[in-house]
Amino acid sequence: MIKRLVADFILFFSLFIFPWYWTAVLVFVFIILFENFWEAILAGFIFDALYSIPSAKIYGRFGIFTAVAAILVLLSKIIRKKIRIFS
Amino acid sequence: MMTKSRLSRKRFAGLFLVALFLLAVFNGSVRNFFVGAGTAVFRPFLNFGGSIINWTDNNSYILSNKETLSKENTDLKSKLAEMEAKFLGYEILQKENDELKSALARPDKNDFIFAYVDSRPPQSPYDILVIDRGTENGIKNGMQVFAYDNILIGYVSEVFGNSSKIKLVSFPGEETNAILFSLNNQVIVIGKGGGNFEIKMPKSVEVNTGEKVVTLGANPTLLGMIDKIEINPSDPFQKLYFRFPFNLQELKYVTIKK
Repeated sequence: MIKRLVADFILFFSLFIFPWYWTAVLVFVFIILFENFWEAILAGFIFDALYSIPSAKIYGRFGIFTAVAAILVLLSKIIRKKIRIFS
Repeated sequence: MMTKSRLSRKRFAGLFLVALFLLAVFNGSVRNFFVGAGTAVFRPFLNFGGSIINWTDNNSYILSNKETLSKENTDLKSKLAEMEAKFLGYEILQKENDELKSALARPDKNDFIFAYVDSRPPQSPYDILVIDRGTENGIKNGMQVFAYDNILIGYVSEVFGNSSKIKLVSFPGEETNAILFSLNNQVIVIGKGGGNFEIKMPKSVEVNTGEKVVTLGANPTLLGMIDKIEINPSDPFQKLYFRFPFNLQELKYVTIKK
């Protein structure tokens, strides 16, 4: 639980401080490390809210980051169901 | 074990969120509501992040001597770029001034609003700037935005109470009418993202690197200088590439033309 809170904290601050691709890498890593990492979708929404513009067709359109994050989280759920890790 | 009613409630909540999201993507007013709420909640953090970036920029010299020199070097480079950009702008202003004088010296009544940049690429994933001025400061959609007072960098694309989004002219696919300064050739500048631009024009026109590109209109402003020319023998057109004459990452403030 503490690990997850630390991850959330790092992700939240990276949204506003680090280049966007660092945040994207963090989201990807956290989705792999944590089960049901719904915070990724919130991070996508924050990106969309702060940086999307109304006139954009695809590039810069609202929803791109949220959708990608949601797809990644759902994919991780499906993949987790299919594979079994022995430690 | 999850009961049936809890499961269906969860499914319903999921479907509701997906429907809401799709509505926000395809309906302008719903999108504006979410973006407005999101910006109101998270912009203070963006502002805070900007302050941290500025603070680390200004205080990293404490760590070591080598870094001090590096920082000083970066600052000087930035100042040099600013001075060079201003100098290039003065040349255009001089020409414009001469033309205006010959046309009975039309008075210039332009007013500018000063704004700090809260977020810029690469924090921003697109060619978008977020600034700390909005409707409360008289900012309106479509206003021109300048860097170092004389370089057109974009237009106000979305305005909130005390912040705005600037769509840079280098936004992919964005088209800007311009002229090649010394050739007086009208061209269309296409944004390529990351502060880069492309111009496509016939090979028969001889262009050299360093050629200044300025906006078309009553008040021409500098966009940049040609960096690279690509000529393909099988293509009747040549491609000219250039970028903003300053580093976007070091842009701390902008001015908005009223």
